[in-house]
Amino acid sequence: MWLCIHLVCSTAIRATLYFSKREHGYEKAEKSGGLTRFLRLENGIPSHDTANRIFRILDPKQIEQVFRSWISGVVGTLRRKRMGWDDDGHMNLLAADLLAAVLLLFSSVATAALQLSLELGSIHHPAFEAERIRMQPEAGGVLLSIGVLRGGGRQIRDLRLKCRDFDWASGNIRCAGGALKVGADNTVPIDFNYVAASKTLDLTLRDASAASLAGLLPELAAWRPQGKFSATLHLAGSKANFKLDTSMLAFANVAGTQAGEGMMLHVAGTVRDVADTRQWQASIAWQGGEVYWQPWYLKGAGQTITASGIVDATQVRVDAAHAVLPGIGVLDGQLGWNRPRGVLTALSLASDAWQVAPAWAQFGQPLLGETPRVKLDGTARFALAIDASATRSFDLDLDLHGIDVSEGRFVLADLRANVPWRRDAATTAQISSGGGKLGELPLGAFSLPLAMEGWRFGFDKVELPVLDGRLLFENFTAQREVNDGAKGGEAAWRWQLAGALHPLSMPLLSKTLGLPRMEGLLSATIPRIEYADSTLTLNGSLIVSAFDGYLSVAGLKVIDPVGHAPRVVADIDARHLDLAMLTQTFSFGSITGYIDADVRGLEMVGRQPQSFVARIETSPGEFGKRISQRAVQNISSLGGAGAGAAIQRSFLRIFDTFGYEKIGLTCRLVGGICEMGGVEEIEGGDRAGYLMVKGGGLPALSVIGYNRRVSWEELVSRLEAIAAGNSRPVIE
Amino acid sequence: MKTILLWLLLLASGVALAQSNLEINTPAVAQIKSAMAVRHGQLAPHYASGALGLAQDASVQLRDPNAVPLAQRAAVQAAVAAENNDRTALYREIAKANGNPSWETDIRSTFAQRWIDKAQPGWWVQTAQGAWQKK
Repeated sequence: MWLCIHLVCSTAIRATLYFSKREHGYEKAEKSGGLTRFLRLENGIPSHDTANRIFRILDPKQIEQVFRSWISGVVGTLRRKRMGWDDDGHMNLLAADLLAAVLLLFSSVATAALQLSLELGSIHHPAFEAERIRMQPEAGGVLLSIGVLRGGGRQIRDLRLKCRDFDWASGNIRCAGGALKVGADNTVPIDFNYVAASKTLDLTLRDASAASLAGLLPELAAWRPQGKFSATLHLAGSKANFKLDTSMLAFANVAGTQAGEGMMLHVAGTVRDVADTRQWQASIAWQGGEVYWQPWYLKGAGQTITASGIVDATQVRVDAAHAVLPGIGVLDGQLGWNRPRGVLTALSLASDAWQVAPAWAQFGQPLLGETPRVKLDGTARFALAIDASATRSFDLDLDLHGIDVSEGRFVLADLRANVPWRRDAATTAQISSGGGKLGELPLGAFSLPLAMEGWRFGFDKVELPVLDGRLLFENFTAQREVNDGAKGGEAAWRWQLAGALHPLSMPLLSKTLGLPRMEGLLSATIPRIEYADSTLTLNGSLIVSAFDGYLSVAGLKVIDPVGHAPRVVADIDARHLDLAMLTQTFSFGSITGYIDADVRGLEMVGRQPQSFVARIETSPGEFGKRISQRAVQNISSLGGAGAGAAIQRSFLRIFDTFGYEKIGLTCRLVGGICEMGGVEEIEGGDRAGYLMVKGGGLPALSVIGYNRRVSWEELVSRLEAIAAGNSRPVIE
Repeated sequence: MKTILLWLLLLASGVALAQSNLEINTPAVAQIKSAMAVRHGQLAPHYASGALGLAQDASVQLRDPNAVPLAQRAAVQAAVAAENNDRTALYREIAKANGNPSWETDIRSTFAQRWIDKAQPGWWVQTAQGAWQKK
């Protein structure tokens, strides 16, 4: 048995040596006196398959038992002699005995099955370290295991790969047709060739499953990678060249906020270590697929990025990055990053003349969400510089054919801007436009010089032609203030703007807005304009001088001006409106005299009033007060009870006009219903009503309304019918 | 078209619940309903796919973004945000239109239950305990 152990073990190690040292291997060793000392080998040196077959028929428990007594003898001998390679390049016998014995013990104890394996030692390379490399012959190749692989700042334990063809000679290792085991079930096809003398490694991964990468790099598992990739790495001393191609690569985070599908990427680069600095250069070409990186969605269409820089213990530097975005333009940049502090130290970006329409659609609009929908067309060139403290400069050259906000709600044509902003210097931006429109209102051309000094902006006066008038903005100042008390130094903008509307002719305005022709002039003074919480607030008053009197609009707010349902809130006071002019304008019949009106809490959605409390009443003072038969009919149709019909049935029909003392009407609009009232309440039980026209003079006529709740839609349709001249009295 | 009609029916039924007390025929409500009806055509396939669910707070939630094709994901995210803004505005407007802004919370609760009750089979709805389940 003693002889058997020695024989078996020696055979095992020599069989192993045969794979690794073909030129000086097993046969040569045997010629110098090895196995042949114990055996007569008539059919020559047995192959490792033969050796394996022998081991498999041995009982591992018996082997282990006798091994324990044998090993103690071997250890005693080894104390007197070093284990190692002899001058001919093969391992001395005792060393081989011990190594084989250890391997045998390991195999028998660990797996209760006899297998051959050999420790190949470690590889120490400037770029990586591989420790506890062990090989083990298997059917169809060799199983190679690496206890620890370190490189690129990470460490992977217990790598296992099976090589169809495997060579090990003079510290050189070659593996062809390899399969790297990753995770429980996945393998990555791999070839590599390591030349120890030149410290050169060539490594190829072919059509590897991206999902299998998660087995090697657990942090990738959360991204659920799918698809295939191939990669090559050529490592020569301290220089590395690499290439990576992905095919139908897909990934997604759990939240679904970042994901890619069908991605075809080509990545290539070089890395070289010079002293303590690593110089790198890389290029990425995105040839297909799509990416969603909330809120942006991008399709691969040949975008490329090339970049180069250095990395050392203190910094990451991108010296030259060049991005080409097909259909949009080119972007160049540099970047500096302080590694110990983890902060950006410098960033500069500069574009060529970008096509704004696709650039805005891809990068700008997604930031705004569903509304407002903004369309831009033209070119833009920009440059940005940031240093360790903050943004240092920003340059913009904008040349837009047009800008359209919210499907034509606000349009400007030929918008040009030159913005040379500097953090530490005073400059002036020039902004101009050929005009456009705001709603239905046409806007003329304007030019705006904007003074800039750090985060302070301002202009003295800008005139915007509107129809035959001018909208004047003046004394604009805006300042960005950092609230030091707030956590993280939260920044807030403080701004103010005053405005005025120089007289605008109402006939032109009413025609433009599709309203009945109104006489008079519209003007406004707006001491302060503010925008906050999606609400535009105009402090001050809009004054409309119309119908020989005036309307004053105060407390004007536009809520959600670019949303789906912008609403206007205001209080309106009208004084001394000439009823003759007014009724003529609206084809209401004829009334002479003057009225005052108050509309409180008016809230408009689009052109529809949502709610208000309104009162119309004859103005105080002495003046002629006559009302025509037709006007009586029309007023009664708004809420009366057949006054017009009553006239027709009585002798009053012979009079064209009647005298009146007071006309008045109130309406409280809530929930689409107008709750109506008049100048006086009329008692009368079931016939109680409200006085809309209080008669006076000769012949006098009073109109009483009985219907207190009128649908606003119905009221509007009645007014439209009146305006169309086909009103009939409503008898209810 | 069918889904839009169904959705409108759903809306109407939600409104009908409180019709004895609540008037909704105001321009703001009409405008919001109109915007929501148009948007529903965009959202309906994503209710069916399970990407969107009807939440207990009467909002729409993007419960499984990865079920939305990448090309539509940004638009769906934006549409869900806009839908929830409109829903909040709708509840507020209905309360306001009745002269009782304080009813908004009750109206929201009423709508939440009606949205869930009327959801089509296969749509995902949130239980009172906050879990998602398929109808």
